[in-house]
Amino acid sequence: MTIFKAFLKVLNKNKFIVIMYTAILVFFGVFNMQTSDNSIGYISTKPDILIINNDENKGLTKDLINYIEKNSNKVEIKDDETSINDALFYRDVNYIIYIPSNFRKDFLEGNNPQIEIKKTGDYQSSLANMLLERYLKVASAYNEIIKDENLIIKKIHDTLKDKTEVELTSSINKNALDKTAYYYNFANYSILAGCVYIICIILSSFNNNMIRKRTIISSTNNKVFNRRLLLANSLFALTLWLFYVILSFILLGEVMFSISGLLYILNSLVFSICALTLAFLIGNISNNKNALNGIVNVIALGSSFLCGAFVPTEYLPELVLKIAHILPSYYFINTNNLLTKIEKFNLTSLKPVLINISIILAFSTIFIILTNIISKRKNKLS
Amino acid sequence: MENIIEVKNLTKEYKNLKAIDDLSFCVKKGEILGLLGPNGSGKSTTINCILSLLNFSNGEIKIFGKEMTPDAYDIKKDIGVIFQDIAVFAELTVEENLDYFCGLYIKEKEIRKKYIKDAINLVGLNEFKKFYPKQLSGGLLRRLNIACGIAHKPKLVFLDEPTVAVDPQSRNNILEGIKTLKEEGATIIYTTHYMEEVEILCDRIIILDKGKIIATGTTDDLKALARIEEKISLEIIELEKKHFNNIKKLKNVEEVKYDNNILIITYKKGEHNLIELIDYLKDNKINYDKIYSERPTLNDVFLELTGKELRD
Repeated sequence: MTIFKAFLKVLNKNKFIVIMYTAILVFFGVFNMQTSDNSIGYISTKPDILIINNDENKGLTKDLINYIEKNSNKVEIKDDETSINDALFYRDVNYIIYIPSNFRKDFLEGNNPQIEIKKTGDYQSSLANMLLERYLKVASAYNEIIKDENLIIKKIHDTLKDKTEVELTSSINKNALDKTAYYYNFANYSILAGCVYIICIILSSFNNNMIRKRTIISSTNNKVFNRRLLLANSLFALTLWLFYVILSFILLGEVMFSISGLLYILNSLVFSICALTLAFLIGNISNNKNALNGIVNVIALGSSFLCGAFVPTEYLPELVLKIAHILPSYYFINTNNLLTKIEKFNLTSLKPVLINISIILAFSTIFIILTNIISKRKNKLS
Repeated sequence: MENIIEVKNLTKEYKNLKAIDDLSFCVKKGEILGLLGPNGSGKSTTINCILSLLNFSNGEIKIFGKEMTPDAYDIKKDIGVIFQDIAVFAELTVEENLDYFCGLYIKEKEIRKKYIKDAINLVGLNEFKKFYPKQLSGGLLRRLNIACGIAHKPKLVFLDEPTVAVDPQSRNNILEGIKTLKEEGATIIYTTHYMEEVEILCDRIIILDKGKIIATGTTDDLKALARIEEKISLEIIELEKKHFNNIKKLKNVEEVKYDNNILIITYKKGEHNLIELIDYLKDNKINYDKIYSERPTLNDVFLELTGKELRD
């Protein structure tokens, strides 16, 4: 209790630094998440389509035109080949549909009339092609079993309406997961910097050479002392981690209650343990308060940049990613990114996540072993 | 009397340098042992070896009759150490610092509370209990440093130059505190550069040089080792050369100096030196004023034995 009490008092004396540092990190974290919003959100786009109808504008033909126009931007171009070709060249239109004469009659009789098209070849023209094909396939299917034209049109409407609703739901979940990954990727910096900076400040008091000497010659077992100090620091790291988790619930909402959310929390907990052990190691190597800022920048900022906390890993050079493999942050961020892609949770899909978590725990074990070796060496003056 | 510390054939080598060379000594229960020596003589190395802060090449160290090792926590609970450098938390108040360091030895809260109160009284920090170290003067800070080392009421205390750079008031307070510790039964090992402190406090003195004991004994024992018996100084206006030479030839005279009308005569062992000098001055009608006779100081002994001033 003596060590824990002293720990709390030293922490309390440094509360201004703790609050200020956390506030800055939270501010940048939230700012980073908000600014990343546009790049990952779903934006629905409509292709520019020109329809040249050579059939009567009624029945199935009229319904096809209505459907296409509803799901695209209607373009008005002078009806001559030169103007149409120019419009295609300058991308004023993505897709041109030529509805042949007697289309409605031939289609209902099952003669499979050919619709001529002209397109730009870009993704918008593919979208337009998809619209047309979707309508014609559904219409053909109903035409084979239903003879009443009005009923066919009604059935087409019902079918196409259902499909749209399913696609929208899927899109929202992906966005939320991407946002969560952004939040937790930035937490790599927040947790690492927060733990290393604040724990090292506290440890620099406990590891002051003279205070350490006085502790070593006391009747408190050195191993017990180190364990208690580690426990006190663990409580701090846990509080910091809990703070970022609660904040993620507030900012991200529903997604945090899913299995993915739970895995993000687990991953960040394991990483917080690793950050704690790393902070303990650094605190044992150096107790120079003035050098701390530099150390934090090198470790937290350096590993965040190298491992893709700020810039997505797809944009990082291969060499940088190879170097990043020697840092625990890489495995933490890699897990965050993997979780956005997993749709079904089973042992196979979770295998890479579990491997990453095990690697982070292995790093923690190495840091603890190194701390013990350095602590023993420092305890002996010779 | 019971031996609290027994050091036998202690040797500590750094590559080719012998910092401690076959050192053997004992410290009796309840005594204050002064450990003296010029810088680099092996004082701190000896203390660090005794406390198991340093490995040693050869020898044996026993404290309270048991072998001292880094894990000998049952021995450590009765040891208090006050280092020359301040070892307190800047973030804790006087009382909180004492609670922390005492808490490393004493787990029971009520006993600890009483011990902390006693330690604060001993060093006279009652008015400063709620002060942070940076709010204390150098002297008060040293008193806090001492209080942190003895708050758990150790039976054996190591004091490494506790009065360096302190004001006279704090110094007196510290010395009084050490006397009280002795009265309460503590055994003390004391290192300092101030000879007057050694003369006031120490029952026995060990003089170290180049890792070896070159002299040991009480203050009087050590003074008896000196070749000189006394120093007589007197004020004489314009002493003639022939008289200066005649005084040099008086019985037992070791050395004569005359500077700024002050004549200093150093005598070897012998009796009636002062009477013979006064007789010579009267016979030759030499007027004199302010005459002093001094016995050799520990510093003279130290200088004679080591060839160095204590601060060298």
